[in-house]
Amino acid sequence: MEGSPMTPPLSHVACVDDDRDILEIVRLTLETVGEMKVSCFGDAKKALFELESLKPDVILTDSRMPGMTGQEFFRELRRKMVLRETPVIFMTARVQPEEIEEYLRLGATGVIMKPFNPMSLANEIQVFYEKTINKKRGDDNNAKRGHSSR
Amino acid sequence: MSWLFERVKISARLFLLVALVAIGICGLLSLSYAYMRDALFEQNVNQARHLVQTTHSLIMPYVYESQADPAKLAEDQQRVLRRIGSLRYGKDGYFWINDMNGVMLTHPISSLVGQNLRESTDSKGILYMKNFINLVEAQGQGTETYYWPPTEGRQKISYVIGIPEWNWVVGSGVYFEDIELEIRAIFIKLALAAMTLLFVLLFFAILLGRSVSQPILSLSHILSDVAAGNLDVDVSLATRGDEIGSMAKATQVFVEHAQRVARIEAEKAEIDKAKSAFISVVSHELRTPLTSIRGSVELILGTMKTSLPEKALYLLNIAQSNIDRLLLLVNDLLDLDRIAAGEMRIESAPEQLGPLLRQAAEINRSYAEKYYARIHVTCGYQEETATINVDKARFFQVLSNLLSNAAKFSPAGGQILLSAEVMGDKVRIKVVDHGSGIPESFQNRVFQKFSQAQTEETKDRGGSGLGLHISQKLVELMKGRIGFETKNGIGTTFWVDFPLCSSWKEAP
Repeated sequence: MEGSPMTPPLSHVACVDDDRDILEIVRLTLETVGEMKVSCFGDAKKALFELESLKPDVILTDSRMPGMTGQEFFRELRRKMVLRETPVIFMTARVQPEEIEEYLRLGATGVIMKPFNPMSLANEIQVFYEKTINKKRGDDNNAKRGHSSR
Repeated sequence: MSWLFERVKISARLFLLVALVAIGICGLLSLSYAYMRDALFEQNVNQARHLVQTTHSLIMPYVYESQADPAKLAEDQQRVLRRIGSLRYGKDGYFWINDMNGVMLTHPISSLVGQNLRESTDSKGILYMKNFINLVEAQGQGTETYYWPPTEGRQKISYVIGIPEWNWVVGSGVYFEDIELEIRAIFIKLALAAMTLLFVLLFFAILLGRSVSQPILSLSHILSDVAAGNLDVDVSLATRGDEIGSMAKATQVFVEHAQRVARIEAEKAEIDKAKSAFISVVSHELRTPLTSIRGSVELILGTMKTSLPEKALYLLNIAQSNIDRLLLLVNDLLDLDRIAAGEMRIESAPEQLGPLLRQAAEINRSYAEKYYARIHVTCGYQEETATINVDKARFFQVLSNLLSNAAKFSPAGGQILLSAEVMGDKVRIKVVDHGSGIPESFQNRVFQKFSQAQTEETKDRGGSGLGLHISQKLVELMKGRIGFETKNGIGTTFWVDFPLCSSWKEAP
C-alpha cells in the first residue's frame, strides 16, 4: 500500500432510499454500531439538492427508487463539482450478477446486497471507503511520479 | 440405371425419352425408305407391264382383222401406229413400236422413226434394241434395263411384248429417277410429320417435366423455409387433385403442425419469461421488507442483548433463524429460475482443495452447532494441494447445502466428516453423516426439486426441498458429478467429483 497508512476517518454517511424503514435501520445501525453521522433522504432529487452543502464522506443509494433510478442519481452526482469524487455504494435487492457488474462499471465503489447484516454494514462501508481512498492516493502518487520523471 | 432414375433431373429424363423417340423414328424412316423404294419400283414396273399388256390386247383385234383380210394389213398397221403413238400416261409415259429388225416404227422422238437402232447403244454401251428383240424372241415379253435417251442417259426400265404376227415389238418404261423423286417427296412429307410429332412430344415433355418438377421444387422450398424457422408460408398447391396435391396436403399438415409447435413454444417462452420476471420481482419485493426485519432483529440481538429478558431473546433467536430460512428460500427460488432459464453464470478458476474444504467447514460450523453436530475435515497431502476448477461461491453453496443437510440429519453430538480423495484424474469430496439414512422410497427423488423425505424426523428440520436439486445443477455446471450412498440406520455419504486441473496433474 502506497502513502500514509492513515486514512481520513469516515464520519459522515448519506443514505438515499425510498423505503423509510430501511432508511431508519441504516441510520440506527451506522449510528450505534459504526458511530457515524448519517443523513437520510427518502427522495433522490431532494438529496441531490442538499448533498452539495452536506458533503458526506460516502453516499449510500438504493438502486430502484420512484422518479429516479440509482444509476441516474449516480450520474447526477458525478456532474456536481463537490460530489464528483465522493464514493458511492449501491444497495440492491436484485442480486443479479449482471446488475452488480453494471454498477461497478458505472464507477460505483461497491455494491451491498439487501437484506444486509446490520452488524457488519458499518464495517463493509468502511472497507469500501478505505479501498477508494487508497486507490485514489495510489493514482495521485503515480500521476506525480509520472510528471516528475518528465 | 439407378443413377439415371436417382440423379438426373426429371426434365432431363423426359428430354432423354424424347431423344430416344427421335432416334427410333429416324431408324424407322431409314428402314422404310429402302422398303418404299423397292415397293414403288415394283409398282411402277408392274404399271408399265400392265399398260403394255393392255396396249397389246388393244392391238390384237387389228392383227386378227388383217389376218382375216390381208388387204387391210397396211391400213390396220398404220391405224395402230397412229393410235398407240399418240397414247400418253403419267408424267411422261409413252409407248413405242419397232419391228424385229430394229427399225423404229413409232416414237415420240420423231427423228428416231424409220431408223434401224439394232446396233445402236445407250450412254453405257448397252445394245438396248438388240436386247429387246432377243428378249421377245426368247420369252415373248419381259423387262429390260438401260439408259435413255442415249445422249442424256437416265436409267430406265421398260417392259416389252412381241406381236409375232406382225413382227412387232411394243414397249413402254419408267425412269428410275422419277421413282426416286416420288420416294423423296413421300419421304420429305414423312420426315416433316415425324419432326412435327417430335416437337409436339418435346413441348409436352417440357410441360410434363415442369408440372412435376416445379411443384416439387416449390414444396421443397416451403419445407426448407419451415426448417429455417420461417413459418409464414402458404401451401397453395394443396388444392390440386393429383399426386402432387396429396404431397402438398401432407406438407400443409406438416407446416400446420410446425406452426402449432412454434406457437406453443412461443407461448411457453412467454410464460417462462413471465415466470422469470415474476420470480425476480417477487424476490426483490421479498428482500426489501426482509431488510427491515432482519435489520431490526439483528440490531436488537447485536446491541441490546444484555438488556433483554430471556424470553424475548429466545423469541428473537427464533425470528432470526426463520429470517435466514426465508432468505435462503428466496435465494434458492432465484437460483432455480436462473438454472432453468440457462442463465446461471459460473465463473470458474483453479482453487486449491485443502483451504477450500476448511473454509467450507468454517462457514457451516455455527449452523452445525445448532444441531449439536461437529464438522471434521480430513485431507491428505495429495488432496491438500490438489487443484480443481470451480466457482468458489457456488462451490461453497453446494458444500453448505450438503453440510447443513448432514447437520440436520445427524444425531445430537454426531460427527460430520468432510474428506477428499484423489481418484485418477478426478477428486472425490465426501460429506458423511451418521444419521438414519435416506428412506428407500425417497432415494430416487433426492435430486428432484421441491422434494423432501417425509419422516417424523425431518418434519421439524425445515428446508425448501430445492437445495439438492440446485446443488446437482451447480455441480454439473462446474463439470462435476454428485451422488450419494446411504444405509438405513448407519448414515449417508454425499459425494461430489470434480476433474483435477491439468496443470496440477502434471506437477507432482
